[in-house]
Amino acid sequence: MKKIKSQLSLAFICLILGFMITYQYRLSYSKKNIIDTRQISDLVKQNELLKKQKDELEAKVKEYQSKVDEIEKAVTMGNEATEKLKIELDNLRILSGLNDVEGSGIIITLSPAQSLQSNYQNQIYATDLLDIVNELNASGAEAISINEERYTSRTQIREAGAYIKINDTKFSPQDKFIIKAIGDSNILEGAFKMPGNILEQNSDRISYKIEKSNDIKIVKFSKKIEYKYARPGR
Amino acid sequence: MIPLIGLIIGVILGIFLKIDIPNSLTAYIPVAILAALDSVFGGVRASLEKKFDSDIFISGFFSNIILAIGLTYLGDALNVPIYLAAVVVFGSRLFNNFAIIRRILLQKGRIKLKGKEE
Repeated sequence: MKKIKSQLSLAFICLILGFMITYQYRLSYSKKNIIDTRQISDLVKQNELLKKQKDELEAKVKEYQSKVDEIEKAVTMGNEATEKLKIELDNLRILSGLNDVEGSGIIITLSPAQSLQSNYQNQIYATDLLDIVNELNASGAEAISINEERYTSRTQIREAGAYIKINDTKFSPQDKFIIKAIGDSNILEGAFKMPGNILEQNSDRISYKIEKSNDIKIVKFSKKIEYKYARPGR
Repeated sequence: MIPLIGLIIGVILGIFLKIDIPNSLTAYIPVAILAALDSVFGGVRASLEKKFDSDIFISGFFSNIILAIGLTYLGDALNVPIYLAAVVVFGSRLFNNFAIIRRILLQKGRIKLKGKEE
């Protein structure tokens, strides 16, 4: 009786041991984990820290923004000229992407198509995004964002190394891209329904989904804008 | 025999069960494996010496793992590679236990041979 009990306990522990060893073996031989596990844990920690910092800073930005709004309201109260100026200012902000905007429009979701050859991984190119943004602008989009990065007059969309950089934020070309555009949703959708449109041309590489929505929110351009060389002219 | 079946079940579980251990914890698995291996070798040795006690064995197994992981965590927190201590100690104990197991087995074999000759 005692012997069986001890054997069972040994068996239980061998079970745990076997599980851990195979798990670790699988982990170290899967492609993802070529990097040392210690490095990964360091990177995870760093990532968490930076995320926290980012959240804090964003909260601060929001706080200051609301202060600015309050001041603007207080200044423009009751005076017709300044009220008009305020309206003008808000319009210009939408144009330059400095305000969150919402309204009707479309959401385009792009993802690299699964290739028939198993080893080859399709990807999305910066030029695809540029073409789509161009098409949206041609169809009268009033505000565009890609993966929550507002498209402004100074937005760059380019490949940088293994990434696609949009507003200096890096995105993996193997990931999903979500393009939101505000405008007449029928016209916007129509631009991607015409025969031979850019999405159709590339449908072997990119799988896409277009949704119409009446309630699209597009965030504002969140980076600092500085002008070093351009001065207002006459 | 039963322990071997347990080991095989464990290996199969490890292959087919899709459990995701969070990335921040993966650094502790190797140390835990070493601690577990040490306990198992210790258990085999004890059973060969006929001193095996399942309570001691199980408590030793878990406390070894917990201590090893705790040391590794402390080392990570202090930025000192204390896990090396666990690796070295468990490693040397592994070799010690293995040497003793080998000796016991050899002795048993010799006694059997003698019994056959006579």
